[in-house]
Order: sequence, then C-alpha cells, then structure tokens
Amino acid sequence: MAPVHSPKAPAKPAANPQEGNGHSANGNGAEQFYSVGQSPLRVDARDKVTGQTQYADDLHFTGLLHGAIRCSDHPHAKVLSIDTSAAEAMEGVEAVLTAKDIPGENQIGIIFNDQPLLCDGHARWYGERIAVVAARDPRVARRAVAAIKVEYEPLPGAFSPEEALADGAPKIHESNILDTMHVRRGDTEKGFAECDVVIENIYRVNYQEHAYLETQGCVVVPGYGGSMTIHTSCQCPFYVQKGVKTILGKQASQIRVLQSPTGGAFGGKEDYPTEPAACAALLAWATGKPVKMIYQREDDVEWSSKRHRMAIYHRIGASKDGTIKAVHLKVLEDVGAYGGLSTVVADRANISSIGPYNVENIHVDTYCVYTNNLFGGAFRGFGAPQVTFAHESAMDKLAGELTMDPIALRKKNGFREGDTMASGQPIPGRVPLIESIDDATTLANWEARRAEYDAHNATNPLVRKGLGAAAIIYGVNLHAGGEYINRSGAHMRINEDGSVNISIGLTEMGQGLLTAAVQMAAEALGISHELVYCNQIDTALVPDSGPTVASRATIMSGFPLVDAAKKLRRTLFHRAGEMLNMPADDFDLANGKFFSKKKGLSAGALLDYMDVVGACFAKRENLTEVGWYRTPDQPWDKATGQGIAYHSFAFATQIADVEINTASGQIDVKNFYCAHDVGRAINPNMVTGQIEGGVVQGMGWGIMEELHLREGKALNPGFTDYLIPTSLDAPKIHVKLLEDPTVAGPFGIKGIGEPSLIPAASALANAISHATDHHFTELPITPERVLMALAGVDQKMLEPAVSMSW
Amino acid sequence: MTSHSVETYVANPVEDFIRAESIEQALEVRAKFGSECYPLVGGTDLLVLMRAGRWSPRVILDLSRIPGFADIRQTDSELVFGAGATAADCLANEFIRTNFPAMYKSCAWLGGPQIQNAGSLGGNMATASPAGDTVPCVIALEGTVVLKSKRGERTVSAEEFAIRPRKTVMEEDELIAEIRVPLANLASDPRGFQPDAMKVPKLHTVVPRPPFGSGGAPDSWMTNDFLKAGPRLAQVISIVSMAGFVEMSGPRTVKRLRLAFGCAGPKTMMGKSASAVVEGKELTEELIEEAVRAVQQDITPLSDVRGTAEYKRMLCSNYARLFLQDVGGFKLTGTRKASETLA
Repeated sequence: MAPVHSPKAPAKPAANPQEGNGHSANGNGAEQFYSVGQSPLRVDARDKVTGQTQYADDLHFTGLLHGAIRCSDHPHAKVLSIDTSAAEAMEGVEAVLTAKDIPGENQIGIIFNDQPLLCDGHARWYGERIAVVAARDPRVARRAVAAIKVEYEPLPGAFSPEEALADGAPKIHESNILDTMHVRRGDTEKGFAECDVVIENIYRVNYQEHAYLETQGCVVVPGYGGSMTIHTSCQCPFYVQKGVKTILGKQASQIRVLQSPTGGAFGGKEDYPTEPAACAALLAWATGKPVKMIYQREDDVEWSSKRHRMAIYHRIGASKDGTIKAVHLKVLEDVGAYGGLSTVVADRANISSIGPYNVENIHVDTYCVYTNNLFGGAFRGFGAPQVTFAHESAMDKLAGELTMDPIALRKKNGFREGDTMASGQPIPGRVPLIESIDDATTLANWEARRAEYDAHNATNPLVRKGLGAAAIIYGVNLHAGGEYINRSGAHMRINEDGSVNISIGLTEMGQGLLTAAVQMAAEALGISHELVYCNQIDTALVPDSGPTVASRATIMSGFPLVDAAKKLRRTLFHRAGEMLNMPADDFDLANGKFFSKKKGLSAGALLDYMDVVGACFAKRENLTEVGWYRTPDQPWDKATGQGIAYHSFAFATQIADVEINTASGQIDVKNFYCAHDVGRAINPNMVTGQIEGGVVQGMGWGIMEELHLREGKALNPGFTDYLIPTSLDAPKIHVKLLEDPTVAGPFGIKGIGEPSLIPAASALANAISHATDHHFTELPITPERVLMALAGVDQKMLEPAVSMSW
Repeated sequence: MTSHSVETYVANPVEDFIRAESIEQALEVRAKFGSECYPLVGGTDLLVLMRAGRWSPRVILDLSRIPGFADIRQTDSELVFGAGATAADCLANEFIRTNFPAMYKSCAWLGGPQIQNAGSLGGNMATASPAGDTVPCVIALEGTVVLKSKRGERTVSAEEFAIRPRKTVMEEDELIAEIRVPLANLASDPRGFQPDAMKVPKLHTVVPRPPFGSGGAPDSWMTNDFLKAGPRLAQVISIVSMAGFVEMSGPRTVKRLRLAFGCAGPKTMMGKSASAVVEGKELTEELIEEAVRAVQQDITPLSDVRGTAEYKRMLCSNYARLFLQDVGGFKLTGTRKASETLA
C-alpha cells in the first residue's frame, strides 16, 4: 500500500547544520548565563509530589459517560457477525458503536492507511477493536463490552517475522513485508575476504512495555458546531487532532486537543493515544455528551504499542590488529498487525546498526514484517537499543576472539573528528566519543577492576563479578524520513506586569520540558525565569510543531523561543532607545537589566526591564510574538541509506558493574558509570535524572522485563508478572556530563532522553558475559537464562519457526 | 466459533462487609455464610482476585481487628502465631530473628513494606498458593495449623493443610486461628547469629556462617534457613523458594533433614528423598551431590511465565546444595551442569 506521507527527497544539497541561532547563547552574543545551566526546582514538582496535579482521570464534566472497548478474541480471524443487542439492553448503556457507525473515514494509521479504528471484518490481532460502548458507569461499560456476541471464522496466524515471510504464510495484509531499508557502502565481499577474524550471531530482543504510571486516558467534550475538545494524556496532540478529524470527518480547526498532565510516556504516548481518543470522540459524537476513556493496566499492556521485537542477523570481521573491515546485517522487525510507526523505527535501527565505528564496507537490510502479534511502536531509543545490543555484544565477542581489551577495540575503531557516519555524511562538529569512553572507563576504574574481577572469578565459584561497556552514536532529532514534519513554533507574550507567557508546540510528559522551556525563554529574553510561565500544550494556541520524540523537544522548543525572544527584544530595544535617545542596536538585555552592548554590563545598567515594559504598554506596542524554526533539509537515498540521516550526533559510553549468583542466576547490578555528550545541560539536575531513569529503564529491558506471548496473546499483561525494576534494584549511577556547547542546538544543546537508555542493556549484557564467560545473544538476560547458560542448557527465547538464509 | 468469555476486570459487588470484634462473632458469620463468605486480614491476595473478576464472595469477613488475633507468643512447647500476625509483626519479633531465621527472611523478602504490613501468616496459609513464602518455613519446622469453628477446634499438620492451589482441608465453617511451631525445633544455631544474612540480600543467597568456635560442635544442634529466587528484589512472586531445617548429631552428622520447596509442585513439596540420603550420615561433598540429585524425585514444577520447569528443578537442587554446604561448613558453590543434576 502507498504511504500517506511519502517524504520526497529534496533536490538541493543539505544546508549547513550549524546555520541558525546555533552557537551563541541567546543569539545576542551574551557570554554569561543566568537561567541556562542552573537547576531550579521543576515548575510542576510541588503539584506532582503533593498529589494536586489533575490527570485525565481526575477531570469531571456534567453528564460524563465512560467508554469501553471490545477487542477480538482471536489473533487472526474473519468477523462474521456482531450482536450488540445484549449490551444495548443493559441499564445505563447509552451507545454501542461498530465500524458502520463511523461518520468519517474508518482509518487510524499514522503513516500508512492500513489500520481501521473499528474492525472492517478482518481481525488481525487480539487488539483489533470490534465495538465501543459508552455508559453512565465505567463498570457497566466494561460489562457491556463483555456482553457483545461476536462470531468468528479463525484464520491461521503468523507469530514471528520468519513465519510471516515463509512460503504459504497467512496473508495479514496484501504483502507481509511492510517496507525495507538498506545501507550500502563499499564492498562487503571484498571486506570480509580481508578479515582475519569473522564472527556471526543471531541476536534476538524481546518486547518492552512502557509501564508509564498513568495508563492511556482521555476525556472528549463536545462543543458548538460539532467541535470537540479533547483532554488527553499524550506526547503528540497534533497526531490526536489529525486522527480524530479523520474519523469524525471534521476540519482540524474543530478539533482542539489539550494535553492533560501526562504521567509518563516514553514513546508509548506518541501515536497510540489517537486510538482511545478517536473511540471516545466517536462516542461523544454519537451521544452528544462528554466521554471519558481510561485504560486498565491490563488493557494498556495488551493493546498499546511496545518496543519492537527484532531478530538481528549479524556478521562482523576484522583484521588481526583490530581494524573492522566489514559488517553485514539483516534486521527483522516484528511490526505486529499494523504499520504504526514501524517504518520510522526501522529507519533509525537501520542507520544506527553499525554503532559509533568506522567501517568501510557495510551491507544492511532491514525488513519490517507484519505478524499477528501485538504491534511495535515508539519507545525511548526507537529501534536503536535493539541494534545496539547486536553491535555492542559483537564488539565484545570480537575483542575476545582477537584477545584485545573491549575498550581498546572500541577506541581503535571509534569515530573521531572528521570521520564519516554509516550514512556517508561527515559527522558535523566535535566528536567526543573517545572522550566519553575515557571518562566512563576512568569513572569505573576499568583496567584494575576487570583484572580484579577475573582474579575473583577464578577462585569464587558462587558469586561472580563482571564489568561491561557499551558505546553509542545517537542521531539527534528526526531521521531524514521525518524531515517533512521537522519544524516548530512558539508564542511568547509579555504581560503588563512584566511576566511572560510562553506556549510551545511540544509536550511535558515527565521529562521536565516545561522547566527547560521556561529557563530557555528567560535566558533568550534576558529576564529572570521566575517571570516566565509555560502553558501546557494546546493545539488552539500553537502551530503544529511535530511530535515530542527523538530527544528533540528541548531543541525544537528552544529554537522558536529564541526566535520569538529576538523579535520581542527588537521592540524593547527600540523603546529603550527612544527613552534614552540611544541607538536601538546598542542595547543588550540580561537578567532584567538593559545595558550598552559596546560597554558591557560591567559599565552599569541603563534601564530596568520593568520600566521598558511599562513604556511599551504606554505606547500600545505589540509585545506578542511567534517564533518559528525549521530544520535544514535532509536529502536521503533510501536504496543505499546514504544522505543526511541526522544533523547532529550525541555520543555516550556506559559501563555496568554486576555480580551474579551462580546458584540461581540472579543478577545484582551494583554500579553504572555513564559519560554522556549532552552539548549543554539546560538544567544539570534534570539531565542527570534523565540519565538515571534511562539506565534503570534500559536495565529493566536488559535483565527482567519479558512479555510472554502465546499465539499473539500476552500472558502476563499486569505488573504481577511483568516485572520492572524497583528502587531496591536500581544500581548506584555515576554520571559525567560532557558539555561542548558548539553544536547546532539552541544554547548548544543535544538531546538526552533516548541516549540515556540506548547503551544500558548492552553494557549489562557485556558485564554478564564477562562474569559468566558466556556470550548472550538474547534479551532479556533473566536469571533463568543466566543459570541455564551456566548449567549448559541451550535455551532459545524466540526459536525461529523457519530458518532463513542470508 | 463465538466469543470467549471476556475478562472484565470489574469486581462484582459485595453484599456485606463484616468486621468481626471477636473470634466467636467471626465463627458465627463463617457458620452462617459458609463458602459465600471470604475471611481476610490484609486482603493482599483476595482483592487482586476480586478485581480480576475471578472471585466474587457475597460477604467479606474482616478478621484484622479481633483483639489478640495477631499476637505472637510462646507456650512451654510452642511458638504460637495468631493467624492475623503480619510479616511486619514477625520482623519485629526478636526470637524469630535469632531462632527462626527462615521465617524472618521469608517475611523480609515478601512483597514490599505495604504488603508486609497487611498480609498475614494465616492468609498466606489459607490461600494455599505454592508460592506462599512463609508456608515452607512452617512446614519445614513441623508446624501445625489450629482450625476453629462453632463445632470446636482441631489441629492439623501444616504439611497436610494444603491439598492443591487454593484448596485446603479447612471446612467452610472453619477459620485458621493459630499457626504453631514446636520450640524443640527452634533451638538457636550455635554457630552464631548473622545479622547481615537478615537483610534483603541483593543476590538472595546464603551468607556463610562462621565455623564452630574452639570448643567444636556440640553433640546436638540445629538450624534453619530460607532461600528464594525472583528476577527482582521486592514485589516479586517467588520462582522457587526453599525452607530448610536440619537437626545434627555432631559437626557434620545429620540426624534429621527437612527441605520444603515452594513453587515446585501443586503445594509445598517435601524433599524426602534427599532427607533419606543424608540422615544418619556424615555430610561429605559427594553425599551432598547425591542429596542434590535426589531432590528431583520429590518435585513436580510446571513451566509458566515465571520460569520453565527445568529452571525450577535446577533451582531446587542448587538451593538444597547451598543449604547443606553451609550446614556442613563446605565452600559454597554454584550450579552444576543440568546433565549432572537432572539425570
């Protein structure tokens, strides 16, 4: 099928990524910062800690109804009939709707038009929605969906990419291959011929559930003229707007989406919240009443997206001195029943699959394959953690074969300034990869510890110790495939009392964006952050600024804020010039004081910010501005994976320190040593917090989180048996921030949300391999996998039903 | 083919919630409502089942406020736990800490602080889940369960109390009043008390005890311990647990061994074959391995989302080995190959 948004390759060459408001702090050459680089308390901390925050489920409206969803009882089936009579007859039920009731287009796919909101007769997974119900009581709504009778004709299913690709596999869609991506550089055949050592492995990684504290939820309130106001826990309100307008056949202007305070998202509220919101909107449209839709935990785990399961066929070769000569990969992504964001996740996996290393000869094929499993989507790291597990595990294995230290092998091949990414683009700016490796190894005391652990393990049969490292290159912001939505806007308004309202097009979801935006706006304008208030995103207030994903939120809200502040400063400087009879272009404003740009602030303040604001109001000047930013173009050749994949790159190294109980396989993660290139930390405390959170979430995926599926059905959809780390399990996390504010982002920032997680599981895997002397090729490395490896039992997590040749 | 039953995750309404003021009142309610009445103390298991729609009692009988129901006391011959005693109550009891480390550890590793404050020993026993962590401790030390009803009182051995998951010998009108453990099995370990071993250990392993002092081992001594495997350190249902109790007649000579395994079968499973291997003999590394293999004869674990049967089998044997190595003062070792253990 045809993509809805087909990003066309721009004809003109890439613009200089350093262009724009880039380097200089507030765009006015100021050297000293007053807000940026500080760690003020999060603006939302007090409310959240004291329980005052009103999440979606806390909102109440007169006449409120509660929605519930009925899903398929089979992973793959024709739906022959739906009998809703028993549900309709229940006291308190106000609407029972199926596909035939949809007034607009029954289509909810975000990139591909492959997914109906309500089943069109072909159920492709257990999460296929058959019907929706609205009732006055949420319990009645849930009982009503259970009372709907559905007749099926079950079809054979495909439950792994290998099964779905086999001859005679059940057809889930027209073709079971959704899309393919490639990287082609050099000549791998020639490259492997030059190798002294070649290693091959199939790496397999399992799903990860986002496990945000607040489940998916929204309230939809009908307004005048058929409009809808949607309060939703989400990352991307403009996605929700687009999805709902399609289902209801409305205009975007009629669908207003207000993000309700969001209790965690991690990618799980990128595309998915559109689906419950569209269901609730449909019910609100049918009943004319407000409808609330809140998921129970089990629903949430079974129906919302997961980190993709992938199989990575990996071959890497090197010469005796450790120079990597060639890498050949085949990546199989288990899409699930519908495309969702799978192709863009695969884009990042595809181009990140080599790691931060110079390799001349590269051959990567990435296949996005439909199955009847639950569907993969965005999750912190977006395809990169999966391939990182492959390349970082292979690096340690390769180091072993070469009898080299794993760190030495990484440093030998690691990117330095002027090197070229797998995408063929020179890496712009400084490349602090080696610095991050050195900092992490120094923090961990690598050489002495590795030797100490080797000696310990030789004499201690019960408890073994291990130290393992992983390094990454991370492409900040959207991949070239997302260029067409890579822009953002912000509003900035100075009020008569000097306070400032800002509205940004990206979302606070727990990561601290509101606080960072306030700090950046204050710095850009030149006033105290205590004067700035950032509105929670509202589609009626700001232009579509793209999704809050890809560690882009701080960058993409920072740029337009700086732009808006520049425009406001022009007005303020003009007014100040009139007041003092000075040229407007000699003014600067920092920390609330106007001073001469030529003479500097040390020569004395000329005017106070409040006086100039007062003068502007007296003269009835416009103190409301819109800032705008669009990223430079990203030309891209899909067939070879060559072009401008990303405009800036961040580097990181993490080292894990573990102990293993060889009687039970239990793993104690004792320490994590993390060195992250962040460009500049707007709020160092929050950046450190992001890294700590990323490490623990990555650790969960690495050693304990395992969603078991039986023919597409989740067997452990609750927190009783889907285990995420507790505070007791968290290691000591030692963080070193590498600041190098010369990069493309506003104030020199890079993203940190995703790079904090990406290396964690891989570092753990290498530490566990060091402790046990066993090369693990499957995640999660649970106590069971550790013990069975030690006990010499070959245990495959995802046994491919059909073997595939390269 | 039509639809399956759909789990609603909506608790069905309860007709009545009765908070008993006395054991007599509780027994009246129990006699009146029988199986339609579900007694609870903390509700840490029942409320989860009710929410899932898998259990729909007509009446909930709250036992948590009965005076004395949570007391832990000693008679001349027994340590007596009121059925309402919580894990937190056990953790606050000095005698349990020093003389019943198995029970202390099972309580310290159970759930998290909220669960420890609410869940009771009586509830753990009555739920009859093979994963109930305190149950193997009671069974290993030959504990008993005291059942009361309006008809009177009876005592059954804890080992025979559970029949299969969620099914016990308790009649519909009965309540668990007490759990008792003989003081004769609770003599303190002469090797000394190990406060470090009492903390939630990150690796859930045995902290080896010091060897006997200069006087050597007494002629007769005993000890008990508890081990549990889970992928994380709190709020985790055991993959396998083991409570071990041993009575010795010399430094390494075993008089009596009782190994009780959780999650290794439909109820707590007793490692009787291992006991037969070592009883009356002096522990050697070879004998321990024989016992470790014998454990396999008495367990029937199933594969589920928490682990495969093979993994659970390996854990049972490895835990038996650790316990016996510690008792015999041998160097602690990890797993052996599955081919050596499961054969």
